[in-house]
Amino acid sequence: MAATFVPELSTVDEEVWRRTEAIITEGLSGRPDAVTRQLVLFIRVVNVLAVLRFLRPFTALDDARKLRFLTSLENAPVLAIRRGVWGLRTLVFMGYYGQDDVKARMGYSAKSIGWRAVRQESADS
Amino acid sequence: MKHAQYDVLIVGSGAGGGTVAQALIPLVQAGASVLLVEKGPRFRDDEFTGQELEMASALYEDGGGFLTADGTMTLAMGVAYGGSTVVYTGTSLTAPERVIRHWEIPGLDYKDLVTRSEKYAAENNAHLLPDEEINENNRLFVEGCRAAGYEARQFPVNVKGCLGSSLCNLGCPNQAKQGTNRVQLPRAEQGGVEIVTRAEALRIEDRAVVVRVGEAQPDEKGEPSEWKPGDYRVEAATVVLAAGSVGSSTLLLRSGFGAGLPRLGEGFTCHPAFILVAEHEREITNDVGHPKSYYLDRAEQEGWVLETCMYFPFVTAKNLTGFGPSHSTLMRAFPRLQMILVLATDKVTARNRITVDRRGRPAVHYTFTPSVVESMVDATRAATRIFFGAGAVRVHAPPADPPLIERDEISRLDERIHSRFFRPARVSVSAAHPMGGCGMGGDASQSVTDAWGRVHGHPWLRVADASLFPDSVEINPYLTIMGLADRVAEGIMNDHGANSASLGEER
Repeated sequence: MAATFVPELSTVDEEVWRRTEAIITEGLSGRPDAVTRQLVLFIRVVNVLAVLRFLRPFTALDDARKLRFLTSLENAPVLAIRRGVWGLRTLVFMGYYGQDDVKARMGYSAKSIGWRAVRQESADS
Repeated sequence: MKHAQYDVLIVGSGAGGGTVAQALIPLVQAGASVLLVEKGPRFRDDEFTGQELEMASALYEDGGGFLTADGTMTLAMGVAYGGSTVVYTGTSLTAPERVIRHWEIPGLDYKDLVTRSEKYAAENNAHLLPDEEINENNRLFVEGCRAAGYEARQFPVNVKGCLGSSLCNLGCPNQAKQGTNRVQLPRAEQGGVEIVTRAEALRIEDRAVVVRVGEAQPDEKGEPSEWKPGDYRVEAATVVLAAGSVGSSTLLLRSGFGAGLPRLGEGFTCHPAFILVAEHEREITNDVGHPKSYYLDRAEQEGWVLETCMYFPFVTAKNLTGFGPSHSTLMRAFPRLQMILVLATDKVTARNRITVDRRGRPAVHYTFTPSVVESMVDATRAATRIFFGAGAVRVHAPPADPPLIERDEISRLDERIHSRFFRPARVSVSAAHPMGGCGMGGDASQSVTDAWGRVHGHPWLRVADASLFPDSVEINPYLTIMGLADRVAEGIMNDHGANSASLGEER
């Protein structure tokens, strides 16, 4: 499911996965246990809904169907379903985009010294 | 439980608490004892690293993930020595006259309030940044506004020695932003006000507050508390609540004040907001420079305000609608992204309010009214025109489906951006201006406090934060909070028979 939210996760190495999971685990550790239970329950609900719709669990769907299915849940008329998708995607985004090397690869380069860094780089080049 | 006794106890150290603490220095010099307790820790300068997750986790309530009761909006509230002034961008505007007149609070004069707010704007070094410090993310907003027929205005910002890290919302790593943690609180401490951090107010009793002092964990940022961990009952002749809209309302509700104050917790507003992102063909300077230098104020005419902004990778990812390849492609275009924050200037409704659950925890009930949704949709259309006017090739608009709008669709914006696509929890909405809950007014049937922040029926208890606002202030609120808090401090001085003039004579 995580790779449906962030396609890059389908091609990254074990280390990126490990860091993604570690950030998510850390993020959930400060939350009530009920939040984790709700997320686990929601993942099961997604699998059941996939079986009802495609006669196979979410994990057995191809990438395009996974994306279409989760997009349909993101637009579901039931708020609890939309909240579930929002919560899961938020955690996955935190796990992936919270990593320093991911930010660097995206070209995000904010530095504490701000304009001084820009002028320094300009002078160096 | 340990016991302590003070003349004045202030709960919270943000714009309200910091202002009151500093303004009471003459009272301390006249022999009174003043204590301020702050739930969050005191951070060392070198702990402001600008790292997104690390700083969000350290500085915000619930690590920045505090959700409204139905889970459809995130509220950003700072928890630190300095409160939310540690994490705001320092945009310094005084309240519009029409808003204060609309509040219709007996005893609150617009000129008096704005004079006090301006005093703090000057004290905090609020000024316009010079042109050479404005980045392209902001310049493009000005150009786009011009092309779309609007006039952008520059924010005065309260910085001193700003290096342009762009990291204001993660706590300035250069100590340039002049929040209460840099200005009012250090002065208050020098003037004899005692400040205890990691000290959470649990409940209010008659002329007393029960405070729990927490222990710093080994791997946690922030200094240990000034007091030993444990529970304290702090007695005080005067108690001032400045824990923010949610914090102060919750504390009063949890302590049973709701019975005599039927309006307690009501009147919650917050300027619900979301981020619009546009992609340019070339890279622009966006992650360097002050992030919020310009704004477009259409609150009076259309119920919305646009502000420039630049957020960090995770917050940006979270705030874009959707996921998958299109979301990922936009994230990879980060150096080419321009951002605008859309804020709706929401109005008080009966449904939007703060309550507490059985454990005394806050529950913020917020429903997006049709008028708020229409305002956000209207603002999104305007922002999209501004982006395209600035040369963007595509715009990510949350209330559109699909959210990516190409340049050649500009003639179809009314159709592409529509309220039917504004589905809560599909569109990521957040708010950083919680207001109301302890609104000022004439009597207890209509309000919680009087125009000087005194809680009806409890003359020893005052409120000095954004919870005093009886309705949305329609601009960034901190200077209005400081102006009101200054009035609260004056009221306390008068209560204690020590107004500044007589103290001056004594000295």
